[in-house]
Amino acid sequence: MSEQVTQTIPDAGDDIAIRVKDVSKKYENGMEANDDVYVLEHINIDVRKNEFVCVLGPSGCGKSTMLNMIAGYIKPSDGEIDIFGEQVKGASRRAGVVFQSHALMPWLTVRKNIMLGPKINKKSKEECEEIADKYIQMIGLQGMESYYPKQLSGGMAQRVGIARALANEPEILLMDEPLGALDAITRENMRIELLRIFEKEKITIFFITHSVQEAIYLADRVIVLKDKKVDCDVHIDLDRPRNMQSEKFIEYVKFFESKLGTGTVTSD
Amino acid sequence: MNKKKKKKTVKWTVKVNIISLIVFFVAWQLISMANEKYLWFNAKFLPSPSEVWLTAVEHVQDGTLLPNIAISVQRILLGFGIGTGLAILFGCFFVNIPFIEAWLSPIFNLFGAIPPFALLPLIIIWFGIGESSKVGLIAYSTFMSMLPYIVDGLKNTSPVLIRAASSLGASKMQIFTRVMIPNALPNLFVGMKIALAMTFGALMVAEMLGASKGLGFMIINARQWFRVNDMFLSIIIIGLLYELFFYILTFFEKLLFKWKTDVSSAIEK
Repeated sequence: MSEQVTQTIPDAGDDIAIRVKDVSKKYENGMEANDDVYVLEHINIDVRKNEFVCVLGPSGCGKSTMLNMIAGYIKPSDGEIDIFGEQVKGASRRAGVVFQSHALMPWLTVRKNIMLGPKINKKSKEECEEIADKYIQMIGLQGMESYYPKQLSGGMAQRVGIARALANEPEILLMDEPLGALDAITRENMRIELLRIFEKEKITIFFITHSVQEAIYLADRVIVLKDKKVDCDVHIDLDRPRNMQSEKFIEYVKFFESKLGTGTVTSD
Repeated sequence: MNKKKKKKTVKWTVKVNIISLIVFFVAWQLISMANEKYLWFNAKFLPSPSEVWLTAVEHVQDGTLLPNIAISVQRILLGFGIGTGLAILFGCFFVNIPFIEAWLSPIFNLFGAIPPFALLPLIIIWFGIGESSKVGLIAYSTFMSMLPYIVDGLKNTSPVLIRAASSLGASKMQIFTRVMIPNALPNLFVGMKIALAMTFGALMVAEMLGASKGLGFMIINARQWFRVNDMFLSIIIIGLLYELFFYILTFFEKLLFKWKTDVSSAIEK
C-alpha cells in the first residue's frame, strides 16, 4: 500500500469538534457480568472542526452505536464523549441527526418540518419563515413546501431531513447511513449535493456508511471500525470533486476492501 | 388519466350504494303493502315506509317529535364530549406518569369488562333518574371504549421520531405535544368512531330506563300503547343520527389527516 494511507490522527487542539475518549459500550446479556456483550471497546476518535469523517464498517460493527452515543441517545458504558469540549449528557440540539429513514414528522409539510427545530427553540415567527425559505432554497425544493413526507421521493425526503437538521444550526451533523435507502442514481446525486452543502455551510460531519466508495468519495478522513475497535483512521488525500475511476481512488478502495475483507462489502 | 379513472370508480360505488338503499325501501314498501292485502301476519307489525313517514309528519305537527330528538342529541353531545375529554385527559396522564397508570389501569380493566349498561340500575339508585345520571352513563361508556385507543396511539410513537425531535432540542413536554399527540390523533378518531356505537347504546338504555323524553323513551312508550309506527319512526331516526355523527367524524378525519391518505392507490387497475 502506498504511503499516504497511513494512520493520521489530528493533533489535539481547540478545534476538536467531537472527541471520543476511551469509550466502550456493552449490552447486558444475562445475569452475570461475564455475559455482557461488548459492541465497542476503548474507542478513541477525534473529529476536527469542519471535517468530514466517514465511519466504515460491516453491519453489526457498532458504527450506529457509536453515532447514537455521540447523539446522546444512548450512554457509553465507559469513557466520555465531548462536543466542543462539553460532555454529551443526552440528546440535544448541539448534534443534528439525519436518519436513514428520513424521520420526518408525517403530519407536517416540508416547510413545517424544516421549521420544527427553530420553532422548538422558540424563535420568532419571522425568523422561522426566513430560515425555512433559506433551507428550502438550499435543497432546491421550492414549490414543494406544502407537500407531506408521504408525497416525496426517497431522495427528496432525505434532503428535507438534512435541511431540517441544518436549519437548527447544530454544532455538528451526524448522519446514519442517510443514503442507504436510495437508488443508485439518486445516491450519486445526493453525494454531490451533500458535498456542496458541506462546503457551503462549513460544518462538521460524522457520517456512517457501509459503502467503501461512498466513504472515499465524501470524506476527509475514513475510520474503519472492526472487531469492536478502530481498525484504521485514514486521511483521504484527494482533491474534490473526486473521480471514482482515478487510479488513486481505486487504490483507496482496494485498501479499505482489504481491511474489511474482500467481498464482504459491496459497492452500490 | 389516473385521476379520471379513480373518480369513475368512486361514482360507480356511490351509485350502487344509492340504488341499494332505494331497493331496500321499495321492497319494504311492497312487502308491507302485500301483507296488508293478503294478511300473512298482523299488518300493524310491519308498517310501510310511507306510513312511517306520515307518522313522522303527524308527530312533527303535534309537537312531540322534535323535542324528543333534541333531548337525545343533547345527551349524546354532552356524554360523548365529556367521555372523550376525560379519555384524552387520562390518556395523557397514563402515558406521562407511569405511576398513575400502574395504579389505575387494573381498576379500569376490571370495570372495562363489565358492560356499562349493567351499571345503570345501580346508577339510578345512587344518583336518581335525573339528567346527570343519563349523561354520566353515556360519558362512562364513551370513556371506557375510547381510552385504550388513545393510550395506544400515544405509546405507539415511532422511536426514531422521538429521537429526531429530541435532537432538535425538544424537551419531554415538547416531544409530547409536538410528536406524540399528533401521532395519536388518528387513533383518537378511530377510538371516537368505535366509541360512538357504545355512546348510542348507552343513550338507548338510559332513555329506556327511567326517562320521560327522548328517542329511547319513544320506543318504550310506543310499546305500551302498541304503536309500532312510532317505534319504527324512532328506530329510523336513531339510525340516521348515528350516520350523521359518524359522517361528521369522518369529515373531520379526512380534513385533518390529509397527510395520512396515500396519494397513489396500492394497485392500479
